[in-house]
Amino acid sequence: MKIYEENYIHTQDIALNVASYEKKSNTINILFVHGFLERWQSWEQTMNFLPKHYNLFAVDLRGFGRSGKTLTNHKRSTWAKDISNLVNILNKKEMMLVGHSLGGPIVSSVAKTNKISCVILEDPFLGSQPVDKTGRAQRGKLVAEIIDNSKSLDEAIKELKILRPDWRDDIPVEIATARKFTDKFLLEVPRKFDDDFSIEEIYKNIPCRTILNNSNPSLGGINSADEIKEIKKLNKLIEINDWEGSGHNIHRDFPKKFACEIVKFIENCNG
Amino acid sequence: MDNYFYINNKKFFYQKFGKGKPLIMLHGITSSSNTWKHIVKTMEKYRTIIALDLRGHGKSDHFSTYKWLDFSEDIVSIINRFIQEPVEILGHSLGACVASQIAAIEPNYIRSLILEDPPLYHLKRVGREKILERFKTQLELSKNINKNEIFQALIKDNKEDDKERYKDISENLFNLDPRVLEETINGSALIGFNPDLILKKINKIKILLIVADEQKSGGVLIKKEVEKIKKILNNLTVLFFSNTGHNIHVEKEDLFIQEMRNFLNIK
Repeated sequence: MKIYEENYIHTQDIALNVASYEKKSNTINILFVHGFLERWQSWEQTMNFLPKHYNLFAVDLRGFGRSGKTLTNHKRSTWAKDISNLVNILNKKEMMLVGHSLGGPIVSSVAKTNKISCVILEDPFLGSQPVDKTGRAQRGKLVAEIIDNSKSLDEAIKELKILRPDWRDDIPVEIATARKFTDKFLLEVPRKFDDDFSIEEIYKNIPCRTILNNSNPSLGGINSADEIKEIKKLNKLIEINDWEGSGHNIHRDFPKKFACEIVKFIENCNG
Repeated sequence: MDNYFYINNKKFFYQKFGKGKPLIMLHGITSSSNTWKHIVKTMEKYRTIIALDLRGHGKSDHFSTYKWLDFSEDIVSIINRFIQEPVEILGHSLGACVASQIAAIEPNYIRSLILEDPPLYHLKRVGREKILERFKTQLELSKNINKNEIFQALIKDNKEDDKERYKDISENLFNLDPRVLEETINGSALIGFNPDLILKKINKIKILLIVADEQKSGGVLIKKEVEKIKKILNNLTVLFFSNTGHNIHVEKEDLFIQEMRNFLNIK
């Protein structure tokens, strides 16, 4: 087990909550960026599996976890700007980025503006309407209602366990807690944040080695085979790693295997 | 030959050998199909052997839960979908419990069972603390994703000079989903596993029960439990391997094969 230190790092206009596991002698640095309605703790199990000689950082995006709130006037590019500022402040010689879902376009965009040695994407948002073969949206709505209507976190967790007996014990805890920590503004449906991001441009311009961990749409992955083909055409630096046995949340469901894939890719990265 | 069975997009690794009537081999907790590599060399002359990696083990996929019932249902699906004829099953430890549960779910799928030291009542009898103590090192090592570090830790803790064996074990622990052990240690893996009910349902099936020496390290069945099992099962042969630990098929390989052949009527 690793002990993570949480600190506020102040960028231009916001305090970002960053968890870190850091030793001066370490040379490999990884920053993890979570998806929508999550927080840094989503990565904790995966981070625990990674070698002790990696420096690990995981951030709460603006509006999530313990980071500053968005209130209004929020754009997707704001998140990318925040992470770009954070990477500058951390000021590591080599930095690698991991992004899940919404975190995918964010880290990809940061790779263009900052010096990044490689990018790891996990079922990233690719700009199109997410594929929903399994009724994920409907299930998500139900989960959201349960959490929002419950009087306490405990009650929410209890209700979620009844709704999803197939979930591992830590999953409802993390989902309910992360949602309770999310800025109310971001919970409003339909979502109010503007899209000023050309997602296509972002993926096209990733300048470093990139691996896209691709979830299976039949199990809840958000991208179709055709979209993956398009991405591959867009940027030859992007490798595809298919996870036939996994849905949208690979790192949450298979933290050990996901950690192994990160190591495999990174060790390659360094030659 | 290495291969995979696919069930609901999830893959199950298996090794297939020989030809003849199908014999499925199920390894114990933290192990893999490789545990049978020596026994296979003899048995493949008489049977089609399908040595499987259980979910979360070896080269099979990881899953979100590891109840003993889940392991059984996986194999039931595999027999139903891919083997499609009655089978013999050899199971060691967890694999033996899984084999009995498979037989309880689908008795028609089973020709006979060979159960090697099944911990049918063990966890309940010894309690969580003892189970944790037994698996503590393996749990710790399964959380390391550096195969070489696992290997180094194993040979440091064990004086036995058997590098090949520790290589296999480090490979197994590298592949293992630590949650397999966590769920068994905290007891949630046993939800839906009712040994008395299972025994009642399989009481007509031809069964060979091979029991390790409870005084030796790791034996998991005590005499009293064997007596109880004898009373329920009507078509049972029991063999006690004295002075032998839990890994009977490794410790007493030749004798084990001989007894298997006798039981399966292989001359």
